[in-house]
This record gives sequence, C-alpha cells and structure tokens, in this order.
Amino acid sequence: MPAFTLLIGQKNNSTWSLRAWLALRQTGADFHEEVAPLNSLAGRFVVANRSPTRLVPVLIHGDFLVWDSLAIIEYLAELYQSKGLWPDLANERAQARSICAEMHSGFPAIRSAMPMDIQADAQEVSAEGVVHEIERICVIWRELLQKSERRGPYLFGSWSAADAYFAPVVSRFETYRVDLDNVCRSYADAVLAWPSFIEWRADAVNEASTE
Amino acid sequence: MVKEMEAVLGFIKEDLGYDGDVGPDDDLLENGIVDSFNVVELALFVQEHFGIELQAEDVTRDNFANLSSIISLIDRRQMAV
Repeated sequence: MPAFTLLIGQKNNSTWSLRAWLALRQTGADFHEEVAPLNSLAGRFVVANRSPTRLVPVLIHGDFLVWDSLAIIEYLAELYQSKGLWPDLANERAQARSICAEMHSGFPAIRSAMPMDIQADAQEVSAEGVVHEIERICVIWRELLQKSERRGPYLFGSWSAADAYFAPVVSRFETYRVDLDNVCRSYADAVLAWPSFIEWRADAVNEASTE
Repeated sequence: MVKEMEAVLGFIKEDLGYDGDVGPDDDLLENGIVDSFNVVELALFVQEHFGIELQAEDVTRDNFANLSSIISLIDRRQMAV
C-alpha cells in the first residue's frame, strides 16, 4: 500500500491539485491519487468529509494530514531532501519561495478571467488586469531564465517546486493562446514537455465532466 | 422512521435555514429547499447524526431527492452495518 494518498480535484481544472501532484511525482514516492471532482455532489462530499478546509489538495500520510499546496510541497521537500524540490542555493531557495508565495496569493485577474481548463480551446483574453499580470509573470520568468539558462530549461535550471507552481500558468497560456516571447516560449515548451505534466494533461483531456 | 424524518427535517430548518413546509416526497433541490452545496451538508449531518458511513457513491441526486429517499438511504446503510 502506498505511503501517501493525495486527495485532489478534477484534473481539468484543479490548479492547486496539479501543483502538489507534480511535486509528489517529482519525489518518486509511490502514492495513491484520489480524485474528487468538485463539480459533483459525490466529489464535494468526499472533500468535505476528508479535508479540514474542505479544499484540495490534501496529502494523507498514514493518519497525518497536510493541506494547502505550499505546505504539502514544504513537507515533501523535508522528507525528500535529495529530490531538489527547492534549489540548492539559499538565495535561490528564497527566490523560489518568493515567487511561489506570489503565485499563491496573487494574480487574481488571471485566476478569474483565465481559469485552467485543459480541455478547452479558448479565445485570447485582453482585459487590462490580465495583461498586467501576464507581463508580471513573463518578467519573473525572463529574469530567472536568463540567470539559469546554462543549467537547464527550468526557472532555476533544474526542475524545482517553482516550476510546479507555474505549470498551471503554462497550461492557461496554452488554452488562452497567450503570445510569448522566445525566452518565455521555450520555458513554456519545457514545462509542456515535462513527462509528469504530459501525464496529468492526458488524464485531464480524458476526464469526463461529472455534472 | 418518523424520528429519522424529524431529525433530517430539523436540520434542514434549523441549520440550513429553510422555513417552509416540506413533505416527505417534495423534491428538495427542485423546490429550492436546499441547494447542491446544502446536499453535502445534509450528507455530513446524516453520517454524523445516524452514525453511518456514507460512501461517495451514496451522495447522489436520487438519494438526496427528498426526505423519503434520504430515510431510505439511512435505513440501507444502517442495515449494512
């Protein structure tokens, strides 16, 4: 029996679930995923029954629960210190945590106008708030990628939790056809080619709508 | 059965705030007595109040259609214990 169960929402839409799921995948740990579609009565019941906040994701480790994607990632990073969930250098770890925190609490216009919907083929969104937030994300990406380009295609060279945090953004940029410059485009392509993300997206595409 | 129905009805009125009449076969969702979020609350209440464990597949539109169907679900789950 796997040591971990990750309670998540439907893969097509649940960005917070995706972040925790990618981080858990990156540890290499065996885990059971329990998908509770939040657009169904049954799914909402499962989450209400098992999640202290009635939100997903929740990591269940034996009889111990960790909720909130950031807390889950921190817990996994402590358990699997060799798996590089955070960068090696202290200043890069701080930077990675800063941008994850910014993503965790910010970008309301993108969240509202560009919900993750992997199955959709949506139109470009041009609302002013959205444009500013997209530009802010591109600034973050460009600054980090310019420093790390010799070390690998991800924000801190090698894959880190920061990339898990921005993976749903990459998905949104694909769905809503956001025009990216070459630096950001190559980063988005690297995330889209990441095997774990490919797996999630394939599951999401095949997911049935429940209500 | 009467006590069970009174308990469920009491929850709908006191906790979910519905103050109209509710017949045993009145459709709870169609009549706006509860909304789909309240159904989850109702399921959690049923589980705790009657000491039964509901499975995800128990929490369906049909099982929570009206008071009678909820009581029927409770009876089935109590018999399964």
